[in-house]
Amino acid sequence: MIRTIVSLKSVRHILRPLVLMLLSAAVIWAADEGRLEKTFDTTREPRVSLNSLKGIVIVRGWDRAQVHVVYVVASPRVEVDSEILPDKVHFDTHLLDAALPSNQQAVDYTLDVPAGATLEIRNPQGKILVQGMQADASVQSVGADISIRDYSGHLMVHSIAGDIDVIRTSGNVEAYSVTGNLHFVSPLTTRLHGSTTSGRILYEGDFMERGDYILSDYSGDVDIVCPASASYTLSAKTLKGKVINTMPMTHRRESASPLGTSNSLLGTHNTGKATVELTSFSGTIRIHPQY
Amino acid sequence: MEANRNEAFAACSRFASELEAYLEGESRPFIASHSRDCMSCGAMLADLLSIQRAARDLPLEEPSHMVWTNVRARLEAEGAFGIPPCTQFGEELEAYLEGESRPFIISHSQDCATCANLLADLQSIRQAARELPLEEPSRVVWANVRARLEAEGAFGTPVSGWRQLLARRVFPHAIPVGVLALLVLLGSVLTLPSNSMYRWDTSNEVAGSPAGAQMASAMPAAEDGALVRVVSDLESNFKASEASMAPDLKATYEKSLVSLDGSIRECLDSLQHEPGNTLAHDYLLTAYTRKAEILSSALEFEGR
Repeated sequence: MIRTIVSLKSVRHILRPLVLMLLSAAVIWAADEGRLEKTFDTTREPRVSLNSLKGIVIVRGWDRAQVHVVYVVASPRVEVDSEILPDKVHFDTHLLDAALPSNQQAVDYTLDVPAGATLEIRNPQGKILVQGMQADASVQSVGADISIRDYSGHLMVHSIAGDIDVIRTSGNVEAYSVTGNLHFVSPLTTRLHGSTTSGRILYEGDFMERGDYILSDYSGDVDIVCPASASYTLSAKTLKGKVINTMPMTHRRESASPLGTSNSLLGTHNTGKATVELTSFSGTIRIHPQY
Repeated sequence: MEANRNEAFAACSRFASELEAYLEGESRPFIASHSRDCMSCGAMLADLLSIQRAARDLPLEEPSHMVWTNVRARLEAEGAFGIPPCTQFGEELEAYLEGESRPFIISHSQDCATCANLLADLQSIRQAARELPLEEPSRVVWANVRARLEAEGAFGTPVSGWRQLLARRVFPHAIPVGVLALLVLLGSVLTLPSNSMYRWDTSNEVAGSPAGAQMASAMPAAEDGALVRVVSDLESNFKASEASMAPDLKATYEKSLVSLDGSIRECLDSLQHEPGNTLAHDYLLTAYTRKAEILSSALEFEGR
């Protein structure tokens, strides 16, 4: 029947992952407690994608042209499909039983992947930790925290309600949340955009020369803690909150509306080599020196 | 003696070389003079003239059909009836530019200046196109596309892993084609004159809700009205499908939506009091955009 609909090539493409899937399922339950560990040869820059539902996802970059995966499923009624090709590795998690209790839907993944791999990770209700990667990545969660460390590629991180930690990154960073907090530590990036609605934004570190930093909050506070040697041009605006700055500024221009409903601060610290734009609707913006 | 013989040989050679032209009617005085001096060449000329005369007197016979068939087959085998090279160039050019091996394109462009110029122009256009920066469409565009697809039932109800796999393999282009069609539609909508768009927005469901009407009055730009309409569509879809969502996931989405709705209300209030407040306007747009993204995300995860 299938043969009449699809070409032989398509059938082969369908069968390959299916065979892998069946083998995977067999291996899982032969192993203890639904645990699978396997290593695949890949290129040095494969595309690695993972869709999970719950549980912890850890992705680490290494210098081998291989993907090593360990995953543990909480129930035999949760299935992991995998598609393994030299330049593409994909894991997909789905429920075999829609009525499965929430606490049994988890799959914990640990992946070691080539540092040059492009990543696409989605784990709606589980934590995600990514570290030591060099290529582009898209990391998404709905309700869980995301932590990215030592990353040099272009990073897009979204978590609707979880906190986002971005530590020692050197590529472009875009981080968005709605109710979660954003925490940036020692970024070496020259382009960083962060936005949250009700969470807090905390930036700890220096600003790079010709860097462009845009941080926006709605009702949460924005805190910048940077070394006294930092060099930047600042634009800080809040409609209903306050701007508190304890860094010495030159060309300082401060304004508040006659009704006291808007506060802003424009100025330059040191020689103004980076551009920093901070906005909040009703939160407080603070800029402090790092000791 | 030797010199005379060489002279005679040279004259006969010249006679042979001019004979054909003479017999075809050209004026060749040497033929007449040499045929008088040289007995052998004179005899040959007389024979040829008599054959020529006899041939002229022969009746005209139409060659048989078989002769023409053979002639045609020979000519065809020699490529006499092939496609004109420039036509063939035109027919193969697209495949060549798409990366197929077409040696004729290279060889013909070396022989034909017109086709070579055409090829050079197309290659330079292609190179320039490659060097153009890749522009990511705005989030609003994706949210709009998502809303339209959702409204048309493109995401349907969750299906089993087998069916998902078959659908993905057998019909891999259905969604991209749909997205393309919707982008064209969206492009048409966004390029309508602002006045007509504004009238359209305010006369439809946007004006139906209090927040929508307030938004329409606070934000006159056509794109803003379109964004509100997208959010409204997405919200309707979300409400229709939230019953099937996992409770904890649903709670997370709802909490975020409540937070965004609060910020939308607050921004609208600010704009009512201070219509020129650009910061409030920016926050309002951001809140709507974020809300569209969250609703899209909720509808996507709900289907898994």
